[in-house]
Amino acid sequence: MGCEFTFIHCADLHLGSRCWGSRHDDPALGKRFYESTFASFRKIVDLGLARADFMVISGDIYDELTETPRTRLFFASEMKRFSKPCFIVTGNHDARHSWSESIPYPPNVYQFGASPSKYRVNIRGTPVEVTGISFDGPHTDENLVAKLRGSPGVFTVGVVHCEVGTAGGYAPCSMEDFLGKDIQYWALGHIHKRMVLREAEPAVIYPGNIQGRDISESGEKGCMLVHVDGGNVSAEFVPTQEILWKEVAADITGKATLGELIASVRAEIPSDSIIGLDIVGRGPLNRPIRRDPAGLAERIEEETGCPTTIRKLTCTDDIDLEKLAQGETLASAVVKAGDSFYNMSEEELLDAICCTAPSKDVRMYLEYFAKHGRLHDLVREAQLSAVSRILEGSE
Amino acid sequence: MRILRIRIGSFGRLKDRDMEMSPGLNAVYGPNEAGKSTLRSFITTTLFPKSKVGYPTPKTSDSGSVDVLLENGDRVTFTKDGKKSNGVGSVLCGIDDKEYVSIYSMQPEDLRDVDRLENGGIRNRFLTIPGGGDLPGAYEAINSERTALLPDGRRSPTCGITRLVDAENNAARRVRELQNRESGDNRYSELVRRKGELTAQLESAQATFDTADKNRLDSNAFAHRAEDLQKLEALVEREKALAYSENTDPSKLEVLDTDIKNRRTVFERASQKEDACRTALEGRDPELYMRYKKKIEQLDRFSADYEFYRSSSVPAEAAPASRGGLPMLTIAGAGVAIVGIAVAALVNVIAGGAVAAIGAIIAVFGLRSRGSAPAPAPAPVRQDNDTARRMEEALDQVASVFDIPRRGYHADVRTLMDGLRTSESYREAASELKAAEASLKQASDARELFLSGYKGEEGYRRAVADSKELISVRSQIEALRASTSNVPEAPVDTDTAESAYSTAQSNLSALKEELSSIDQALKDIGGDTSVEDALTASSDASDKVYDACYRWARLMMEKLILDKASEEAYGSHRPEVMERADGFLSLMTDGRYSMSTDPRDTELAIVDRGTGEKKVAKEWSSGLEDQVKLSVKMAVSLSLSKEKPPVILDDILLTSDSGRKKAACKALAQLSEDIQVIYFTCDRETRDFLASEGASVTDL
Repeated sequence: MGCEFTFIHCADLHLGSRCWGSRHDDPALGKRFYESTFASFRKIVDLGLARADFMVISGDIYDELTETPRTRLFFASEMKRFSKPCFIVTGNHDARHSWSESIPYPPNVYQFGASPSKYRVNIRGTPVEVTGISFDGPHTDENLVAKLRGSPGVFTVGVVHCEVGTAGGYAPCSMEDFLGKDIQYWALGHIHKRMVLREAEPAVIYPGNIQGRDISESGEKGCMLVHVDGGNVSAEFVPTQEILWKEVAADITGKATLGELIASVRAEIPSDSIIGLDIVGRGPLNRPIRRDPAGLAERIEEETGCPTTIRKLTCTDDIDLEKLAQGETLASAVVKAGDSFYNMSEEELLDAICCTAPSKDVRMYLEYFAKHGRLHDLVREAQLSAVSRILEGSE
Repeated sequence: MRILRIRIGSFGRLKDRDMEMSPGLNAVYGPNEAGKSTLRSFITTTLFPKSKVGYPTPKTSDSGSVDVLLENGDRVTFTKDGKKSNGVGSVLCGIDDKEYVSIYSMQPEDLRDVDRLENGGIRNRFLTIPGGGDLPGAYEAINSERTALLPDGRRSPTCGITRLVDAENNAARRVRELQNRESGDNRYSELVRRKGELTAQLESAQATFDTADKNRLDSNAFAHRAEDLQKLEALVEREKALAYSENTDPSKLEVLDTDIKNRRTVFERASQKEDACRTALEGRDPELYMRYKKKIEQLDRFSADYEFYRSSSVPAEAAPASRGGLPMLTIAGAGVAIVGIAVAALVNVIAGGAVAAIGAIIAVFGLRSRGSAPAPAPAPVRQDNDTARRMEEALDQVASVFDIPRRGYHADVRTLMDGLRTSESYREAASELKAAEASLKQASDARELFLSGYKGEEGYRRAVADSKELISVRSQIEALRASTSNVPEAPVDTDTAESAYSTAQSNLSALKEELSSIDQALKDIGGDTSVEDALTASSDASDKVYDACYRWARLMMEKLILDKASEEAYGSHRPEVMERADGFLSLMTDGRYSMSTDPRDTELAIVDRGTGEKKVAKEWSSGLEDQVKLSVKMAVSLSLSKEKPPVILDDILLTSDSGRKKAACKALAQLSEDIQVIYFTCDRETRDFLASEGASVTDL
């Protein structure tokens, strides 16, 4: 294992996937969103051409619906351009193949099947092994990680799409499954947030997806550039995202005007990013912002050139909610009622909200928010909105 | 505050009245026009002077007083004097005059006016818990947006979320349709397979075409070989005929002509110069000038001294000095003397003589001074005069030879000199002309000699054309020799070869055309954005649904929070006024109705205790409406002010039936335990009901 080489580990390309959560009906922005996953992958290939010996992709190259001729042709073309060996597994989103017969990948692409297999590449005279296993369908309860093994004495990369530490239907596994397998680098996919679960012996890494698609996937996105020297692994994250989603907290506390508030957040807004604004704090700006939150977003967008949406509106008047809760007014009761809902679980909240007959139709949509823990944010927003309404009306 | 005594001096139709009131329930009975409303107006405007009760019209003669007992035991008298009153009920009770008329001093129309209850501060203060007054507004804002997205009762096809979900389903259906249309990659695959076949066929067809093309060329070449050989022979003959012209320089004649042209220009310039000189000499012989050259130049040299030698009047001694320059003093003295003599002769003898004398003195002085300088050698004066004469004679001689007009020595000499110089130019021009003529002749001779080699200019020009043709002929000979030297035996005859070529070409074109259409079809599929566009539309539609659902859920949560908050708040803080109103209403309706205390109500509402049904104002009969509003106002009257002003009611039960009157009187009696009640009526039945409830009755 004394050789020195470099490879790229990326996952969850979701080529052609659409972005969510910004304003609709803006064709230019829509096109920019649409092109973003392609642009990010193009940068990864550029990086690979310049610095890597091979590449591994740990699943979800496409979404189920987005494996169209265009996306497949794009990927095949980029792989041909890359020309160096590339090892891929499929994940839960791209397990079903389309266009594989007519738009085949170039011969430098090695695709693992639903059973474990191994490939060896010779890098400057030293063999490196890559083993992997693909999803056979959109779900699997099988522990795919447990099925992989490396070869003693040969640096081995394990490529798999899986979920660590859960019991869900996405190849669940535990950290113990990665140990003692003669695999020195576990190239994982599925989780869109970048995570280094274990730095070495073996390294276990989720690189995250290559392009954020909504504000919940904020921050830099890209790939890992993994350098191996004498068997020692050092993994460097390289951002390649085309669009940066950025959560920005706008604290109204101590601000007298919207201009002051905007000035306070400008420095936190990188150019060309998409902004999700969390409006927090207490002060006199609560009322004007609540009356026209979209107006604030538009002003920030005008001044920064970055598309901006209000993600959370949890500001209040200049009041102490804890003290207010101790009173005997309706506003006090509202604070306490909101707190009582806040203490419920996401599932209980889902039941509470879907209490009318027609609401059964929207439950499936709200389950998405429940799954992402957004209902508690929703309760807090509703509570503070209700408090503002009652206090404003009482004046 | 309770009224103890009312004294009226004059007010409307009431004059000199003095009546006492009970601190509890009072009934003032009298027929129509007896002055009941006037008395109510007197009390109201005396206690609350700004009240607008409207009847009777205030007069300056109005007078009277009202004695009241305050809660603290003080007794106060408020006096009306004319249009003014010193009543301070508003200050004492902390309510404004409008509130007094709306809640305490009512006619039937005042009873039904609940504007002060529902829209003023009274609702927030007494009918709900603190902060609850605007709950209905909050609910309205939340529910209007929320139910527009998704109604509570039945699913509506027109609500916001349903429409968005429909749009999402349509967009998703469109995606499925397009993807099914594409049917995986079958069509694409077929096109790729066919392209592979065609590519192979094309390769073979191209080879066939190349062979056919070669065969065609070979057969054509073989067929044309004999013809080509004959052509070659003729060309060889022609080459021989043209060979003489091989070295003909096509530009040589042009060079020679240019040379002649240039020399002719030189010749013409020399000729013009000679003509100009001849004209300037005006017919005189230039050679004659040349013969007299020395003489003319001698005359010219003498020209400078001519004047000196010619002057015979100057003394001989002065002549050399004059040559060298007479002393200026001598000349000036002589001048002055001459002027003096002239003046003496013509103007004044004495002055002129004086001037002449001075001039003579100056002249003499000048001569003396000169005499003191070293004297030069004396000039041979007589000889010089001879020289001048000799030169003049010489000039005369030369002038006559050239026959020039005589204008004096200098002019004549200049004329001769001009003639001499022109003659010299003439000789030079004549020499140049001669040389140019010789040069031109030499060039013409050279051209003639050159052309003689071609037998004239025509021959030369033909030779030039032939030399060009010779080059072409030799090139053709070379090509024909090459093409005829290695012509193989043709494999097929020309017709067969042409036919095979045509077939191969046709096959090749057809294959290329099909391949091109397949490439286009593949490109179309690869570049088809309809699936992509549908995916984008579907994604956008889903995004909108999720947005709307989140918004709806937040509003629903807000409603749930307000529901829970109001339930808990009212459970623990039921407003006292509503409790009392509930009691009065129950009393007046024999327990059938209670007040609804739901803070979400946007208007007064009651609940039927039997059915639990809530009824709002529009569902009440007029009698029930009076009962509800009276109950609420009675309850409010007990809480609105600590210094409770008297409740003055002007026949508000007049239109009620007996049962309602009786029940109302019971409620009024109960009310009068806490606040003074004065009821004016023209209705005997009401009077009796009040009396039976213990009212103190005053008959007007």
